[in-house]
Formats: sequence, structure tokens, C-alpha cells
Amino acid sequence: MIVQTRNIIEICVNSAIFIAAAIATHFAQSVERPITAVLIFLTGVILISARSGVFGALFAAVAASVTYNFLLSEPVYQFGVTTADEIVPLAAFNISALVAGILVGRLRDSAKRAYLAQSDTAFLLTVSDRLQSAIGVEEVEAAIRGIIPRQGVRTVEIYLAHGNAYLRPSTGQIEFDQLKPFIGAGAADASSEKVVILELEGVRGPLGIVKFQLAADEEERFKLPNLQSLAALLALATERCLLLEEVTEAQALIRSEALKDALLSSVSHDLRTPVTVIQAAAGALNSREVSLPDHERHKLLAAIIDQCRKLDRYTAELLDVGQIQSGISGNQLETVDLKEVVQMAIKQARSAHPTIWIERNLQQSSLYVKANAAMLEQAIYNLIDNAYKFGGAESPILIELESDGKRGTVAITDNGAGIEVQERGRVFTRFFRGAGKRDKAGMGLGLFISKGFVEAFSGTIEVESPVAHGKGTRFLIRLPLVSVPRLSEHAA
Amino acid sequence: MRILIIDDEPQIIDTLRPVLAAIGHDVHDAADGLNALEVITSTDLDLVLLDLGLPDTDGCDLIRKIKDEAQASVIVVSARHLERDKVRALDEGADDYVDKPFGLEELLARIRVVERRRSDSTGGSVQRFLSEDLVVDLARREVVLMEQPIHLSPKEFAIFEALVRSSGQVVTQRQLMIAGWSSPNVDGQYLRSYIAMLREKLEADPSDPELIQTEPGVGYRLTVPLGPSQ
Repeated sequence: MIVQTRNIIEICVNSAIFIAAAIATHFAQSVERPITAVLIFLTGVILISARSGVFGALFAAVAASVTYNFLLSEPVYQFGVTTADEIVPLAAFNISALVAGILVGRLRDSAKRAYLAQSDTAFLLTVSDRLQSAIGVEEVEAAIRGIIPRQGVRTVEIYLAHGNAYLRPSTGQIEFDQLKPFIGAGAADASSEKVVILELEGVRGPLGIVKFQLAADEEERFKLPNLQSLAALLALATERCLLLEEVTEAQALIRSEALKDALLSSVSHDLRTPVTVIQAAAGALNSREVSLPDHERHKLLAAIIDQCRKLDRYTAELLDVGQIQSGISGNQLETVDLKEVVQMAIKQARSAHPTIWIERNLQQSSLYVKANAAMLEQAIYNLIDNAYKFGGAESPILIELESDGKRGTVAITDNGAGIEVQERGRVFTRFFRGAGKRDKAGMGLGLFISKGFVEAFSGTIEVESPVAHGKGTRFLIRLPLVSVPRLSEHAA
Repeated sequence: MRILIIDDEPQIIDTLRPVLAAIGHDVHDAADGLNALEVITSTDLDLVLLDLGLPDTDGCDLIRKIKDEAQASVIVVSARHLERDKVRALDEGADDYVDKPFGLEELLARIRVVERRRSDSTGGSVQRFLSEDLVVDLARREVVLMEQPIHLSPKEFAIFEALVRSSGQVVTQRQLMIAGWSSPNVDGQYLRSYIAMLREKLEADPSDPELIQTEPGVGYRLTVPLGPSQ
């Protein structure tokens, strides 16, 4: 419709120019200025040629020639040529009008072609820019949706080859082979809109097809080569997205495999070491071949007891990890007194490490949080245990309990060497053990378990290191406080 | 013997050290590859007990260095039950292996085999009495079972010879393939067939082999009478 309106306007303007030129010419003729008259008329013809190309120029030239013959050349107001004096100007006028018209028209046509080619190039560049942003196949269509109507393409639909069928990733819609015969050809559909289907050809072979729906009246502007370049760009973007998806999938697979490997090798190593010690020590105590002095026998027995404890702890840790991974449900939570739980954890740490030196700074009043008491105690114990392992028995471990009215904070500070900057972000990762600390560390699950439990109680866990003078590590557990249960409720 | 225990788990060293010392060995230890190299270069060792899961060193690299620097035997102690690492270590030159967790008797038996072989090789004898029933003379290529000479084909003999030369210790499939076919890229089925033929000729009950034992996934082992002394 736009084009038709534009054509009508064009014809009207050209006609107006022609009529204006004819009137001006007639006026000049009537005031005895024949040369001016001819020049004005010629200008009119050139103007029309410049506006409407070679065909317009030819038409204007013929019309002008007829009008000249009728209006300007003697006898005026009638056709017919009588003398040679009249034939020569008439012929000269005709030839000038024709040549000037054709030349100007041709110039205009090539300028228009250049403009169109340039706008095609600009369009394809914009398309390729937009396509850069697509990272999934389903985003390819959306990336250019905003710019294609400018070029007269109503819709673009991308289908990926999927066995015998074609799958449209953006909608999940499936089309069967019926699209195939139309590849490369145009077909008018019911709504008289033209549909063009082209193949999407990737580097590794055909990817699928693209369906362009063109507005019928814009058909002219859309030459096949242009659509083919568009299809090539879409193929490029689609293939890039497909490759990206493959890479992402492969990486995810590698990560989950790596995690499984880490789990297996860690469990295998950490569980086998205590078993090896127990088996070798028990074997030696039981052997007739090996005769050991009493104090060595006692050491081996102590080692067996120690390793049994370790096995028990590892098993508990693995169970805790399993619990975290399967998720902690709301009905495992209850209102617990954070202060009481911290005291329990300290008690547990004192019994596990008789030489531990703990300094407490616990707020007097109770702080209530929503948690599972046993899991929270384990989370806090793990941090104290960690502080003891890396801070040692020679310096105190400071345990503080604070509240800002909204959250309760448990801070556990040791005076050990601190955590290396590059390791700080990873201390909560499964199986992480600091460099050169394998002999002290367990399986590398303690902090992971603390974090998992605390987060299940809607809390956070943070680490600060160094704390002072380039030494020490502080772990902070923050838990949201819940309203204190009133005494009357207890009474009831 | 002078024994070096390389293990990053101090509890294991603490347990093995007094036990091996009690039966008369001179025990050294190292917790990582770096310390191990120091001991290897400074001490005249007979045996290295090498844990494959060291944090700082690939066990196979260490085996190559041990074999280059010292004439020590190597028993690989592996906590990972990954056959691949173990087999690679054995192909790299380790003499034998035990899996963690191991029984003390098993470890002591392996150590005894090393001890016997080290005293043997200084004797330079080529004729080997494997047991009361079986006599093998490698120089004369003779195998005598219960005083009856047994005929082995050249390939059978080559494979059996490899087992005899490492008697009491595991020989990897790769090593046996090289012995029999001069190439490690032989179909495992060929090797299994030759082992079956050897068992047919040498075992009292080939369906329940006692002489040539299968080490699943690793190789085969020729058993020798294992006692505290010969």
C-alpha cells in the first residue's frame, strides 16, 4: 500500500512539473521569447527524468515532443511541420529532450541501485550485529524480530532438522517433511503473502530451514539473493548457538564427572587410610613373627582406637553431606536457643580435644533461632574443631555470641596462620584441604557441612582472614532470630 | 634391609615403622616426593614402599627416579583401587604391589620375596628350584615337573621364563606380551590362551591353579613357597 501511494504521489508531482513547464513555455512563447520557452521546457523534461528514471524520461521526452509540436512550433495549436526551418528546431528539441532525459534517468537509476545495495549491506550488518547477542538457538529469531519489518519481511521462522521432521526451537512447534519440497522456491499462501523457504547450511552440513513470510506488495524489493544472504547469516548464528550448547553440555558433564571422581577418590582414600592403620596394627599385635616391646604395643592399640574414632567421624560426615544434598525439610526445624547450642558445641569440642583452650564471650540472654539443634551444634562444632586444628592448643580460641535484634551472630576466632588469599573463597567447597595441610585436615567436609546446615536454616556463614597482625581466622555464623516464646505459652 | 616408607599419612608410617623395625629392618620414611628424593639419593636403599596417592608427586615419576638413582626394589602401596595407576606403576618398573588396606602378613610376604630375590641375584644362580616338584633351568631351557621333563613351545617358554624371573612377584600383562610377542599390542586373548596351556602342562589341577595365579586386571604371579625362610 505504501508503495502504491508513493507511486501516485510521484505521478502527480511529475505531471505538475510537466504542466507547469508547459504553461511557463506557453507564456514565454506568447511574449515572443522562443529560446527561453524552449529552455524552460527542456528543464522540465530533465527534472522529470531525474525524478523517475529512464522510463519516466522517455515518456516525458515523447510527451514534450508532442506538446512542443502542438504548442511551440509553427503553426501553433496544431500538429504539422511545413518548412525546413521548423523541422530542424523540432528535431533538435526532440533529440535534446530524449538524450538529456535518458542520461539523467540512467544516472538516477544507478544512484538508486547504489542506495538500495548500500541499505541491503547496512541491513545485513545490523542483522549480524543483533545475531551476536543470541546465545541459544531459540533466541536467534527474537534477535532480529525488531528489524526485519523495515525490510518488508513479515516473519522469520527457523526450523532445525530433527530426523524426518523440523523443530522450531523458539516455540517447540514441529513441522514434518511437507516443508521440504518448497525449499528454495516461493509459494503464495492463502493470505496472498509470499513465503520463501531456504535451507540453513552450516559448516558441518545442513542445519534446517528458514521460512520467510514477505508482505505481497514488497515482493519487488526482495530479490532472492538478499534473502539468501540473510539465511546465510541466520545459519551462521544458529550453528554458533548449537556449538555453544554442545560445549556447555560437555562442560557440565565434565564437572559432574569430576565431582563424582573427587568423591570416590576422597572416600576411597580417607576411609582406607584408617582401615589400613587398623588392619596393619592389629595384624602386628596378632603376629607371632613380630615381637614388639610393651610400649610399642600400647601405641599400636592407641592408634587402632584413634582410627576407629576417625572412621566413625567420616561416616557421620558422609551422612551429613547426604542430608544436605537431599535437602533439609521444614519439619526438621524447631525453635532452639542459639546460646545453648553454642555451649553444647563447646562441650563436645572439650571432650574431643582435652587440650583445647577456649575463651567464651557469650551474651547472657537467650537468642532463639529456627534450626535443627543437632545439625546446628554440628555446624558450630566443625568450626571450633577447624579452629583447633589450625590454631593449635597453644593459643586461645575465642567464641563470641552477639545479637543486633534481628540476627544472632556466632563468631569463632583462632590465632593460627590464617587462610591464604587464593584459598579463602574455596574453604567451604567439598573436599577442599589447604595446601600442605592434609595431615591435619580430615576429609575436607567439615566446613562444607557447616555451610550447608547454616544455609538450610536461612543463615549465612563467612570467613575473615587474617584477623589481626597478619594472623588468625574468624568464622561468622549469622542466623535470623525468631520471636521469643512467651512464658505463658510454656505454662499452657 | 634398608626400607624407605613413602606415605603422606603419618598414621601409616607410625604403624609400619615399629613393626618393620621389630623384624630387623632399618626403616626410613618420607611424607612427600621431595623428602623421598632426598633419602633416595643419600641412602643405599634395598626397598621402597611407595604410596601412589602422594600430594606433590606422580608415583610413576618417582619410580623412574628410584630405578635411576638406586638399585632399590619398589612395592607400590595403593589406596586408590584404580587398576590403571597400579598397572602403570608396575609397567614403569615397580616390582610388586599391595592394595590398601592390606593385611600385615601379606605385606611381610611381599617384603620377604624382595629380600629373597635380592640375596638370590647376588648368588647369580640360573637354575631355580621353584618347589619340591618343579625345577626350572633357564640357561638350559629345561622344565622338570615331578622328575618328568616337560616340553614347552618357544612362546610358552618365553612367557614362563618371564614369570620365573619375577617369581613371587606380579608380572603385568604388558610385560608378558613383550616377553612372548616382543610387542605390547597383542590381543589379550592370545596371552590368556598361552597361560591356559602352561597351566594345563604344569598345574596339578588346571581349573584351580596354584602355581600361576591371576592378578585380575594386572597380570599373573608365579607363586613360590612362602615361609619365613626357604
